[in-house]
Amino acid sequence: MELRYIIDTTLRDGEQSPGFALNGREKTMLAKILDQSGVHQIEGGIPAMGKAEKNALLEMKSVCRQAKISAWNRLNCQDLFASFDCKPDIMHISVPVSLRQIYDKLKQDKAWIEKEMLICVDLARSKGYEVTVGFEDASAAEMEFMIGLAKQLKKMRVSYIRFADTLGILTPFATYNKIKQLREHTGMEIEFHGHNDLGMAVANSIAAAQAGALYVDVTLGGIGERTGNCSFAPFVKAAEQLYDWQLDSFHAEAAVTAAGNLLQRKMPV
Amino acid sequence: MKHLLTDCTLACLDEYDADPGNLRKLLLLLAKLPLRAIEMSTVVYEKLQRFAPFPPGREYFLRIDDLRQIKKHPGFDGYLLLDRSIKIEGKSFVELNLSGKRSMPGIGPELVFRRLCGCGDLMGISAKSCFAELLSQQPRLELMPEDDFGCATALAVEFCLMGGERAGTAFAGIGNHASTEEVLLALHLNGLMPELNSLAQLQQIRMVFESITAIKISLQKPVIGKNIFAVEAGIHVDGILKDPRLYEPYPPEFVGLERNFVMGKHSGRQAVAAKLKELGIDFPQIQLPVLLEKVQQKSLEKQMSLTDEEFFALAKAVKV
Repeated sequence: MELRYIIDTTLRDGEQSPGFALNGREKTMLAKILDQSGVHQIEGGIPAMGKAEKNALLEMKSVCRQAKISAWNRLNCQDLFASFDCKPDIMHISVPVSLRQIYDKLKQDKAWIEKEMLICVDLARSKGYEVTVGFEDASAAEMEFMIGLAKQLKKMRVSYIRFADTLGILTPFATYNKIKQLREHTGMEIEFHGHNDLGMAVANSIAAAQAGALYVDVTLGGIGERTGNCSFAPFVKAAEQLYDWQLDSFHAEAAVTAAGNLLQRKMPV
Repeated sequence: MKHLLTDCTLACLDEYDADPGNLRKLLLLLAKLPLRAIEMSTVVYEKLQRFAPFPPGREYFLRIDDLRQIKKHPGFDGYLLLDRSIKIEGKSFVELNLSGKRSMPGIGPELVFRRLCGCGDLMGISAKSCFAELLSQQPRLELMPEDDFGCATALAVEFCLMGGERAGTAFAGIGNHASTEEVLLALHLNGLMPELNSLAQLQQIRMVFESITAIKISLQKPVIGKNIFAVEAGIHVDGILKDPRLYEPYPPEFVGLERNFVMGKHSGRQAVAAKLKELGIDFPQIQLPVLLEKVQQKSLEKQMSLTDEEFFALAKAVKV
């Protein structure tokens, strides 16, 4: 079976969903089990949030043996400077790519996005970091714009691009076509980040893998904004029939259980 | 408006000792959804019989396991009977035949359409060629996918988007089915049923459904979960205040829900200001950065987000 990779974002996108806050100890505990379960990368948090988050990332890095720890950054250099303190394995930079995100949220234009992206990637690369770039709201973005950005990122040796279905609006066939197009026109490897707004996060993530996405994002218990992200356990149950995700099933189950227990205590009823 | 779905919620409630009044409420609410047909079991029908005739404008199907039940319960637009198990492209299906009421004496009921159930193991893009083949052979086929691998909703939606005219679903996905509410919304957002302007009755359906089954629908359940429009992260609140469409795939009111700003560890200054406004608190002199710090501190201590009362107490303490 072909090799594929799980990226767990419970401790970043998952934790940022309303309802609960994990402390450093809990984050480290989950990171440790995720590491044992064989996930390729743990998105550990957002260092720009402050000291507690930074310490949590440092702590995670010290307990994980194989998983890469990544730090999430907005498209600005200040965020990156905060992340440098945590010495993550991967510096992830989120780049809004849909017109509504660029013009309505950031009140900027495409040229500005491109310029900022190059500055930030260059800064992180110059410090020797492995960099991944996330295309936020990619499902609503112009394919040509993304292809143009991706080609530049390839030259700068960015490892792979995260395609985020930020609003969870894709269907599997549409996901497949978009991922395939982006890959074929750029030669970049893709990470797919799905949300469950229409109950299709698992199906979309599988379609993305079939289109060649090497990496798939999940969260424990499917926690995340609104209806949540692609949920670890159901995704693996379905996707392990198609690809080798290099997981240790015993520890993966333990991770899902541990997260379930934590969530049960914290979720509002 | 083209209606495509057969909702079989009322065929999935046999194991719950449902009160006939509640079943009637559920039927009336379901009949208001843009469905093509409503399917029920004989057990449920026996409790609903006294409330006949059922709301107009929908087809009604009875799921039977014996042809003699057609005679016993006349008047349905169709009867569904398990026919046989078959394999198509290596995937297992169960075939059910829907037979119309225009039965011909001596020959038996006329076949109206075939339903294929199962195909829970059909995943992602592999469904495409399978659906194309099925639809080319039998355009009036109904697909009722099962949710063995969490893909049922996606399968039902893609089947309809490829031109399938009938798909079978159930509310909240009960009975291992695709979720009616997810499929309806997805079809609408993908351009089928463009005239649909509200699914607000889904919240009433949820309440009746919960009271019949004692199943508590998860707060995060797509389309119907009570918390799906709660938002805490500063970056998202900020975006929503500029334009809700930045972080909401469709307006909360469309499905009978409301947006709600939650105060916690990830809140930002904008969110705190918005929450004050939401609660109608007007402290003109309040120092937002100070309040924000207190909010973050408190949620870390508590290990979860703040209640509105806790937030109000902090705001009062900070207002000078």
